Amino acid sequence: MNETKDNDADKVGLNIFADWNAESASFPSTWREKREFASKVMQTEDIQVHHQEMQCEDDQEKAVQTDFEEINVEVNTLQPPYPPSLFAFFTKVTDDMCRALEENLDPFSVEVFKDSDDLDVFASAARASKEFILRSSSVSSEMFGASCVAWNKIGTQIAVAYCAHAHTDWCFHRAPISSWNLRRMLNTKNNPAHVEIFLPTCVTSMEFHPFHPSVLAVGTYSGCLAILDFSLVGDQQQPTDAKMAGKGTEKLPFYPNNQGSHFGGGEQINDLGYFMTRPEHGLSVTSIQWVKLNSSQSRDLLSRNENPSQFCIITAGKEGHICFWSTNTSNTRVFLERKFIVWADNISADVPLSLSSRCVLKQMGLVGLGACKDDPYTCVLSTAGGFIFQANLGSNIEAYTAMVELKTESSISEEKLLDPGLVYVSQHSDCPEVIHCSPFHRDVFLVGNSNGEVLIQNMLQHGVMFKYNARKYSHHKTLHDAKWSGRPTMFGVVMGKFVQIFDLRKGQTPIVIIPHENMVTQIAFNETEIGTLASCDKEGMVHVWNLPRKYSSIEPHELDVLIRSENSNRQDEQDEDENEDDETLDETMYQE
Amino acid sequence: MSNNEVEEAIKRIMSHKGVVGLIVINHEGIPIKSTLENSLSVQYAAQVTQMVDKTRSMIKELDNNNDLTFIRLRTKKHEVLVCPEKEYSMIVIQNPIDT
Repeated sequence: MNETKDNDADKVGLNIFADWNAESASFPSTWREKREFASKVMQTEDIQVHHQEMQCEDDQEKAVQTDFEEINVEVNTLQPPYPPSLFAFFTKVTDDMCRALEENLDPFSVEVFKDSDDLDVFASAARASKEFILRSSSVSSEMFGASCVAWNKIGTQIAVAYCAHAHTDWCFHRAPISSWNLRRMLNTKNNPAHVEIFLPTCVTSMEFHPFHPSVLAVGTYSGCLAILDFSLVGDQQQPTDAKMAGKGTEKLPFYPNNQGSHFGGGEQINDLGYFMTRPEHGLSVTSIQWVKLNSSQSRDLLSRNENPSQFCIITAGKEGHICFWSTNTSNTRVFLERKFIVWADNISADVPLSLSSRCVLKQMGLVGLGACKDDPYTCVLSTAGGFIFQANLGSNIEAYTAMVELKTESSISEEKLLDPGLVYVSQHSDCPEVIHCSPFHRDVFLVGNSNGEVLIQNMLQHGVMFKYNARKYSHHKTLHDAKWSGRPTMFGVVMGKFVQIFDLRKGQTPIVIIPHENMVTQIAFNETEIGTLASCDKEGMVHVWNLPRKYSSIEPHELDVLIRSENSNRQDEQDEDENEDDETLDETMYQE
Repeated sequence: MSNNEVEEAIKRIMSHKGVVGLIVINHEGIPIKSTLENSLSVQYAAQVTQMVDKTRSMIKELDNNNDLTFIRLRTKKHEVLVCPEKEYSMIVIQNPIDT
């Protein structure tokens, strides 16, 4: 060992002033190694272990979140100035969204948050009380059902017409028009008719005279117009067998006192109480309306009547003809003043008529007609195919000049047919069964489609003001009738065995639901007693109802609903036009 | 339309009865304007974007000439109204009104 030290020292001594650069020992330190080895074995510090299966408090487990975890997400909120595309977006969607939100105002409380099978709406809707049940003893319910019901203008008399359940060919049924005077009712049930007038054909439409409470105009299945005057016929409390309704074994004159004149005849209505024209319509009369003319309108429109009354009649036939009739002051004669045809050739090319309508069957059947309030020149029509047109009955333009062709195809009339100047309003997806102009607003009308949709529209505007679905509240799927009431915002709808009353201000749910035992065919509101309405059914029964008192009077500013909606629609249309211009401008600017 | 009018439009929608919140999302499904808290906005945005995409593809599959214009999703508690457009979509949540 000492020798080793000496050797080392010698080496060192050789260069005593050099730095110590002696190499370390060539063999590793066992002590250090052992220490390190010991470090690995024994844990001296805390170790954080991450378990995938078990969640520890500080761990973030991706699979399952058991504790609340605050997500710090940054919403990239835009601040002004906004891009033009955002402006355009808000301009486009704000009104639609507001409209959708407003639709939800009332239905939220009743309809939306109930199960769809839950018909609690029937429990929550008000009920009407039945005042009378009327039934004609002359009518067999097996053969006839009530087709039309109408009130006279002073609200005291109600008339009902009957129509056979089925027609195979031309109509030869003898059907009564029964009338009751409500001021003379003794019982609530089983009231036979006070007056009955039998016609030689079934009745499909009717309306009382606007001024004379006992005069009634009816349109028949055979295409005729008849004027009835109940005041000329005595009471018929006990109808004789000969006057029972049925097939015509005893022929009733079609044209009583008619001297054969084409334009009506007879100086007076006969004892039977009616006067009937020749069938100017090839098919049944679907609508009949009285209109009132002023003196200048009478001069323009009437030429054949030497002593015209200010009240005229418009009839629409299923074959597509519209007839404009004048009456004399005593309502004993009618004159056909104008006849129009709804003809595909006179409809503008941009209206989407079917190819067969354009080329083959050019006449378009009329389903309904509504005369415009305060404007006898204007009416709205509903045709086969779901079209709604506005027509001008002051037009003098001939429908076509090919009179020779007309004579061979339709030999009914040699008179010239006029073009009613149709203006396309809208097309509906389903057949518009009923069309009725508002008694309070000259441009507003309602359309009832057979699938239960009721649309409130304005003749001068595109789009729909209000839309209702009566099918939701009825097990039956077909709409038979829809009418405005004596209040500006209230109307009634007939769906199967239910009559539903809606109010434009009360949302989509009917305010009154009136159940019936039989299928209802038509309703009529009493214009004088606003809360009273009549309904007739397929069994020939007539029911007179009283609505709850709160719906029986016009409330202040009720008409404003229609006016506001009209202005809103007009504003929407203007905004749409402006938006189209703005979007075009924005895109141009954006590109630049 | 000015910047103020965007805010006015939002106020107009929010002023309707029962409206709880409004969210405007861009085409990526990111909320850009919202009256609700952030987390809820993001949840609605994500779910509604998926629903709109799925609904639109369904409509296109059935009829290529048809397109989605509006969605009203009624639930037991409220209604979600969605107006989808090309670059943005608007989501409005409305609660029932106690009568």
